[in-house]
Amino acid sequence: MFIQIEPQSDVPIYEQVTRQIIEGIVRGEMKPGDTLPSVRSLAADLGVNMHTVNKSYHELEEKGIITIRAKSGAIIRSTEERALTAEQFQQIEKSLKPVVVEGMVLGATAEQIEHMIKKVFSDLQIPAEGV
Amino acid sequence: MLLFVFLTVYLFTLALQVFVPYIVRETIIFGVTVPEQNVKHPALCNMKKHYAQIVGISGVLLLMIMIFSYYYFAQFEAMQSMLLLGCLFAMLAVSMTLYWINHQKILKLKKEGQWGLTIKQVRAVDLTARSRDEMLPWPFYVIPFGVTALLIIFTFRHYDQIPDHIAVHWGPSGEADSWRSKTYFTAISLPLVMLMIQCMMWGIVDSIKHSAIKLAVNRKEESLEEQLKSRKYMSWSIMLLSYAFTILFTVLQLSNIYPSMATAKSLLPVFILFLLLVLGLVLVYAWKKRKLRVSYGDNVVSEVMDVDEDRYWKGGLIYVNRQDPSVFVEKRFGVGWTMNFANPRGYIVIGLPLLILLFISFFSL
Repeated sequence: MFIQIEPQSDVPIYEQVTRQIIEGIVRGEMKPGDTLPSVRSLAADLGVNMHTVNKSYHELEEKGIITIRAKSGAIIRSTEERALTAEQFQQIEKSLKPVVVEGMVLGATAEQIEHMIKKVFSDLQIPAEGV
Repeated sequence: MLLFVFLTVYLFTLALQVFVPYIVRETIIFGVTVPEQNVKHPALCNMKKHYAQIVGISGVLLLMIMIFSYYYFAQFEAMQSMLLLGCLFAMLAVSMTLYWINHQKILKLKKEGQWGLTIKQVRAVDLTARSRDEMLPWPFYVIPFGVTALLIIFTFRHYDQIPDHIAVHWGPSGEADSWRSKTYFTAISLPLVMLMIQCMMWGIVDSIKHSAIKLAVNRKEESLEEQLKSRKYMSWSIMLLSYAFTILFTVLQLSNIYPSMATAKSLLPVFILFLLLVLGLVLVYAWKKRKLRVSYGDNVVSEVMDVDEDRYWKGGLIYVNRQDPSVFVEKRFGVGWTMNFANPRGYIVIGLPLLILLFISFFSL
């Protein structure tokens, strides 16, 4: 699975790494049980400091997406292991709110925003039905 | 003999110098990053061609001067060596001067044409690449240490048998031409040098293993294939080199213990085989690089390009990047790898064994 980093982007590199790994899992390019490369290797391949990759991996662990084990490295959790808790659900809703609000204050209608969300699903090639 | 060995090395170096622009990545031309979107600019193609022609012709001219003056003017061995080395450096000077002129020209073209200014620079990484890396594991490089240890033990056990003078240097004819008087330290100085070389080889492979697998963002699959194969081949070459050093030094050390072995006739083939192996490995590496090279049929139409790292390459030749954790990176003009001079690990891997080598030769030679 490929990831692409823009070093000159405003988004910090660790965040780009986190987002793209998450996206890769959602797309099914990375499966539960797959191992991520070691922090050292990924840092070398990206040409960035090890702390950057470490930060990204720890963020993924905090979100409950991967498990970091001392010997075997960073492993992607199975769907059962990363079952959404009530708190996580609230957290996601909370992060989504400011984006929707920003869209509305600039004049986007509810349909337009719904359409946007559907577009995100179709970009990820996931059926939007039942959402 | 001197002439023959030298001619081989000279022709070999010349061939590499001529073909360098066609071996390195196509997006790095005379040490300048050129976006894939501009890679087929006609001026670039001409520059490469002219470079190859001029270096080739002047290389052959220098070769003729070299052979001619070798037979007519150089009577003593010291003078002959000077002459041969002089011609080799003259050829390298021609190639480096041309490199420098072209480097400046392309920088100017790039600036004037505003190449890549509006293109987004990205770095692509394959998360599964590391699990497909086929570099040899470390035990392959540690096995020769055992030979060194046995050789040191063997030397001490036969210490009384060793002649009072120990050969420490060999001339081009394969005969020893420098000796030191026997002590416990001089007796094992060759195995110690051998150990340092083995350590260095191991360190280099280990550092390459932890250095970047660099993908071309518009040719991800192809460049990944190229990277994995060059890494694999590099690790094999270094292993063979380490074994060849081990054999060479073992033979030399045994010839010190059993002086009857040390005739020029028996040592010379060992030296020549060693030289041929080294040259052969570099040649095959260059040839493989050429074959695996990602090729662009035409200018690429894409909104992204690889990260332009020109500012980290001093003169397009020396890599100094504090942000990059890689110890070794592939050369931009040449065959093989070069060090990241901003990474302290590189100084440990290369510098420390060299320092100890100097130390050994200073006290034993």
